[in-house]
Amino acid sequence: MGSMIKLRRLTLGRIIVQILLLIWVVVTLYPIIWVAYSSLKTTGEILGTPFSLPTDPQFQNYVAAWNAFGKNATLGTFLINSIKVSVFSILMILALSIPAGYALARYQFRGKGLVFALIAMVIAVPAQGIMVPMFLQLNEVGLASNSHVGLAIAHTITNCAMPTLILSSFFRDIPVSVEEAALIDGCTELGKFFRIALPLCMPAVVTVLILTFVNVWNDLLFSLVFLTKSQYKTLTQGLAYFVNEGGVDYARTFAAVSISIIPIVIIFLFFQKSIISAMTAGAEKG
Amino acid sequence: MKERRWLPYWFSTPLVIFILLFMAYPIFYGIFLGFHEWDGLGAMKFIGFDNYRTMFQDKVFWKAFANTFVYAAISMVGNVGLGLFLALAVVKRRSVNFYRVVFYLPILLSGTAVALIWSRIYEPYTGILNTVLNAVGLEAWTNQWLGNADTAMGATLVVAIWKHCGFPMVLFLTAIMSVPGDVYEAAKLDGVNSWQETLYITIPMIRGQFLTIVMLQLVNAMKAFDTIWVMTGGGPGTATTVLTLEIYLEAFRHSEYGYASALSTILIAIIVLIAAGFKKLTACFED
Repeated sequence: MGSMIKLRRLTLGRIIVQILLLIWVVVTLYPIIWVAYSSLKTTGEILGTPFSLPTDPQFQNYVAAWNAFGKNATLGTFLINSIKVSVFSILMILALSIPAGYALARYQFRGKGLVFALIAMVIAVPAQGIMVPMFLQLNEVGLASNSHVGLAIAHTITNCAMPTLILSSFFRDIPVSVEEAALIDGCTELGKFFRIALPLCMPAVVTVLILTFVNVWNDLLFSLVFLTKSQYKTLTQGLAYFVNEGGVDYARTFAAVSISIIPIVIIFLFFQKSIISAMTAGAEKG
Repeated sequence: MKERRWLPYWFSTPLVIFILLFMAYPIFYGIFLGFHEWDGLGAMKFIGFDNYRTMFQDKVFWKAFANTFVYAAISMVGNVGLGLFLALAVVKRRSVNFYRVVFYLPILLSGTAVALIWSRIYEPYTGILNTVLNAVGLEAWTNQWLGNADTAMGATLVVAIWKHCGFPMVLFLTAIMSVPGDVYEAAKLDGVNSWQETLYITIPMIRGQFLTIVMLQLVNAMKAFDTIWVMTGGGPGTATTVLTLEIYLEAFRHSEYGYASALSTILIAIIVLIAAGFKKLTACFED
């Protein structure tokens, strides 16, 4: 009986699907793995025998990649700048979206429709469409050229809509009775928010944090627009340098790419469940 | 009770002000700038519809316009098609989570890193694609890939699909898994095979989500910049120039802020119209 079921399942269609699936697994993973191990070969080896594993690991490639940018910056400078911009953006987004999400979830008030309409506008209008006027607008107050604050503002406006909706639907799911018990205990409205709702919404805050971080960390366009001096640039800009000027030195380029992707791959493997659900929450609220 | 009345206003005002200041204002400022000529330093000059007139007579604009749609349409079809195929292929496996993680991974990598990896794959003399083609005796198929105007668009599209297909896959997985099991039970009794099951039950049951996923992919692809910029810079010539690239170049390379703003206004109009169209369509479907 068991073997008959097996036989029935092994139709030609299933075999083809299985093969295609396997091919796509290889196509997806191999380029990433290839760059990671090639980063330990010499440029000569990468060009001569592109598929071979490193025989004599060249760790100095990483040193060369780290110091490829002249005297004003290293990859470390770019890393710190990227962290700075991400932290600014995440803090601003949380400061805006937590209270707004709470107000939308818990209260009926005049103008609520307007708030939703504005959020819908942020979702619909592409950030690439307002990038030029926003840059000029920020330029007038000195927050454009080489300003991490200006860049963080651009990221905040681009990424503030989904977090507000995610937090709002999370607050809505907290039973009202939990908060009302606090009111009876003599809490004010504000106290109710700070002492009950805020501590409870931490899972949603983590979701927002992941979603925002991935978007801000990986951005190249806004960084190019705002940052022109090498000591202010972000990691993606630092990487892009290797295509334009440092492209010939394959070993160094691969080391730089590895520095940027290996931490992301490791973080993803540890937190895959929460990362995937955070990213899809962003899509499904739209 | 006074507090109860004012609290929602205090709480939503910061977000409202922020959106008005950095979204609503730039939209109108962009429309305003679109009627002007301005290099960002000197005096602004009102020129009416001249920017739009120039734009509609400019070959580069129409090329970028066409490229944007070609890029968005093909990457949408590729991503949705491949995403749906992958979701259907793995949904009933015990190893579904392995596949989810593998196919999702490229989405988390920056477009810049991905573009660097793929420009080394496409490299004409030493890249692994041509190396493999040579090794298996397909020398005739080797190409400049990114350096050839005929293949550059295709090559960037492969990267777009490689990087993004995991996202629709995950969304399709969620949708398919939420189809109630008893629907399938009934079909099993009627002797439906798994291909028919997919075609006549699963896909119709997820058609609402299907449209949303199509729209997301389409709109996101219309905003694409990073991978194209790093791999080809819009070239060779204008073979891969899309509207976002054209806006960036006009504003920040040529200091044509007025013209770039006019282009921006067009981009906003296109994307808002597409999103609105899909909203209508989804509403029809769900009735």
